[in-house]
Amino acid sequence: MGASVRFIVPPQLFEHVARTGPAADREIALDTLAIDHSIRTARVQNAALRAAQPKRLVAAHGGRGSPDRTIFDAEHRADAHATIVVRTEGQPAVADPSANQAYDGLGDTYRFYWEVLGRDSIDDAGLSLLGEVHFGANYDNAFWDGARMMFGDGDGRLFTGFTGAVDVIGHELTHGVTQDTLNLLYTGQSGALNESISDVFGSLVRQYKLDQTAEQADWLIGAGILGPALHGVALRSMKAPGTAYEGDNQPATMSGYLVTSADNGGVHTNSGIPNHAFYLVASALGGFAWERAGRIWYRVMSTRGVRPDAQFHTFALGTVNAAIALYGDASPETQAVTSAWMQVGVLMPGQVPAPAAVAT
Amino acid sequence: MTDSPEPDLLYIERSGGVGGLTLRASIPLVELTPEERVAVESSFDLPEHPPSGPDRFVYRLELGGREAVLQEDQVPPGLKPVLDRASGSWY
Repeated sequence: MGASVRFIVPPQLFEHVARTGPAADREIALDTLAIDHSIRTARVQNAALRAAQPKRLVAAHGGRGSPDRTIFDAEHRADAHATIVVRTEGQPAVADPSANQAYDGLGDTYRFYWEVLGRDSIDDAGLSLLGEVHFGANYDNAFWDGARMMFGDGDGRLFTGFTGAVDVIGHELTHGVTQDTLNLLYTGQSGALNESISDVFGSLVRQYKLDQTAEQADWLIGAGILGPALHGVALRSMKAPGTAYEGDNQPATMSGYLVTSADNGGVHTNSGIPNHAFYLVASALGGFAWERAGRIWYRVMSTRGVRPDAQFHTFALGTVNAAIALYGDASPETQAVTSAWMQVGVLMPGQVPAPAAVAT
Repeated sequence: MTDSPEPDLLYIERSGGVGGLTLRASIPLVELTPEERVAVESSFDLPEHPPSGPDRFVYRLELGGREAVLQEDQVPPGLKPVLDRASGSWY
């Protein structure tokens, strides 16, 4: 792929339209891709075919297995995609620490998804990973915009930047994976599930990088990026929701579910409940959290086990079904999943599906 | 909405972002330029939009009992200086 093409029109935008857009737009996108490079069209078609099938959960063979990263400098602008390239795949470290952290974090996230889950980038088709550093002026945020990962520098008061936390990078790229799989609506409980899935896999990216077991991990999200005005240690705690900083109001159980109109229905608040459920599963099973708990959660995503408007209860049943499919209905894994959702008040006794009803 | 809205005070709330913080600020209307006051007034006529995307900010403006909810991508350019000013005094 020529670098000049990537800078003018990111090909993944065409790929996305080709896979998900209206029929007329798909035709245009596919035509463009065909003109651009015939092999790209084949890859889009292959990805669409794979998306229609349940995915394998063991490491795939024959994929690329290496990321394709480009880091841009937004120069504190926020009005359009940046065009200044500061580091591309395979280049040595540059003078800008933020660019290097973004490059490394994107690589850590790619490596996790590939080595642990057999997923080839966000779209499972080798999508290039594009990141922009120095996005906006004193911008207190990082986000995935559907095509690129944007990193603000923070205002120095609330946040000191976002590239230094690999779990935040994993969180953001996982929004892309969710968009490509479950496509959970970003409001209310489905939005909180969207957020929680990003926290779960963001945390697993960090744990995998640090080679930590569930017992060794701190289960914090965004440790080290808080500024002096926020008194605390991180953005969120999956182990003890509501304790990450002064004023943290995340609930750990349904008894603390927050009804609010802010933040699209409290998506970053109520995510504490499914976050804690995952922590409980991982802790009950012990060992590396990505090996069993992560695999169960990912199966719900890769098989599109719930609808975009899924509620906590539906997703909980989806993870139970995934555990049964992977490990059997009487397995310790399935028992751990069921118990965890009961502990956080999402499932009640008698709500666990019978094995005959399991959808694989 | 607050119980007794002050007609001369613009109330701004920012929620969302990857941090999920809900922050608030108040700006006296007399501190706004005429252009900024027009931008504030026009925001109350904007239709409510679906979320801009994961981890984007959501702004809520309140003035004299009226309320506007703006997704980050929906913020009109004329309103950005007002929101930037609020960012310096979040509580």
